[in-house]
Amino acid sequence: MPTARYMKYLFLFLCCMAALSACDDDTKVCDQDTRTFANIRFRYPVPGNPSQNKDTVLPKVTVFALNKDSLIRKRTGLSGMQLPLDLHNDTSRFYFQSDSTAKADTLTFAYKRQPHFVSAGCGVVMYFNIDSAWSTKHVVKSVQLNAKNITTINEIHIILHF
Amino acid sequence: MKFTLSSIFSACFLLIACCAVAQDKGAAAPQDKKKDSAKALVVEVPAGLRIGTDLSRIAMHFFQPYRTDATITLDARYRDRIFFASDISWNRTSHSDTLYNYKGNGMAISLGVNYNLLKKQVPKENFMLFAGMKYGFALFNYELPNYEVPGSYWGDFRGSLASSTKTAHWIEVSVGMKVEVLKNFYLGWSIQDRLLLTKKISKGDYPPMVIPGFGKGNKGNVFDMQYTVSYLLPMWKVKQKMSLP
Repeated sequence: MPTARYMKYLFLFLCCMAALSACDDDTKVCDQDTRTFANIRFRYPVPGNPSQNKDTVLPKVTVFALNKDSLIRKRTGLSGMQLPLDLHNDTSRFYFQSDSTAKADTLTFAYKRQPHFVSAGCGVVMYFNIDSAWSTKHVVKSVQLNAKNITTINEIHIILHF
Repeated sequence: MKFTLSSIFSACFLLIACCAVAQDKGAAAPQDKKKDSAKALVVEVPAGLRIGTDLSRIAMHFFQPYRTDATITLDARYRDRIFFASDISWNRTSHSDTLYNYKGNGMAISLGVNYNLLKKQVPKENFMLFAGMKYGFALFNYELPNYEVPGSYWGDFRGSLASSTKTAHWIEVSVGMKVEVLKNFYLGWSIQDRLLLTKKISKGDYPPMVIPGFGKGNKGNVFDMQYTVSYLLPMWKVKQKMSLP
């Protein structure tokens, strides 16, 4: 019967696939993005309707952690940024300037750190659980915590309102 | 991606199992017609304990050098088509690279039943096409003596995980076959799908690289295969039904 013959080949194919998947050396490959940066978006209230917010692009952004080298230097056209949090301490503070002429703000993030063994190929990454985030209010109006757990770079964790 | 592959395998595995049952039922119909003419015969055939080893565990070390495994397979015929089956596994895992060192070892045992899907027509024929289910239990320990989280901006973070002892439980379904190539000497292969019951091990912050007898520790569902050589120690006799044409 043709169906039975095809089933036999399907069965053999599955066996081969199972054997191959069981045999790969997974210490050699890291098949995922393991960066756990705080993913930040910029928003401002829609003129005439302040209850609604819209994504915005800032003119010339400069960011660096206090007493550290710059992360972003006078970069134009940013609608958001990804900030690495301090792996050694439970607080990170950043100098944040939205425009070269604007007054700078200080962004502060307080969090708990949790090392996490992702896989044989990726090793250990640091997960963060943000307790609170705040800012001085020169240009930044408020800081919204959108997602507390930072385990991936793919979701928006913090929204800065202007 | 790997989770998706695993799910596809699981789905296909179940599909094949269902088709096998369906074909078995389909095949039963014409045999029913022949029932009147076929003579049902019960004969006593030698049975006993079959002891073997899984050769794929030895080969695995060449593909995954950080793993050293050994598995002893046991099965004993209980009734005509029912076999009690058990696997006893040992694993040692050791890996070292620039990001982390890992050490682990442990033992596992799985116990269950295999059902022979083949109807016998010749008393001395000892081929076996089986489907089975087992419960597995592992006791193991592992540690990360040192690891490093790379941080290009803030500097690398270095830490360690002390040795800890864990247990794991799983359910395993399998299909496979065993063929008697010499008297009492068998070759066989099977594929298994294992479902981890202690999910918090795979979902925790430090999942083990390998759970002995189960497979990758960060997966809740793993596919595996065995290639066994085994020897039957005839110890008792079992009554076997045979339908002679």
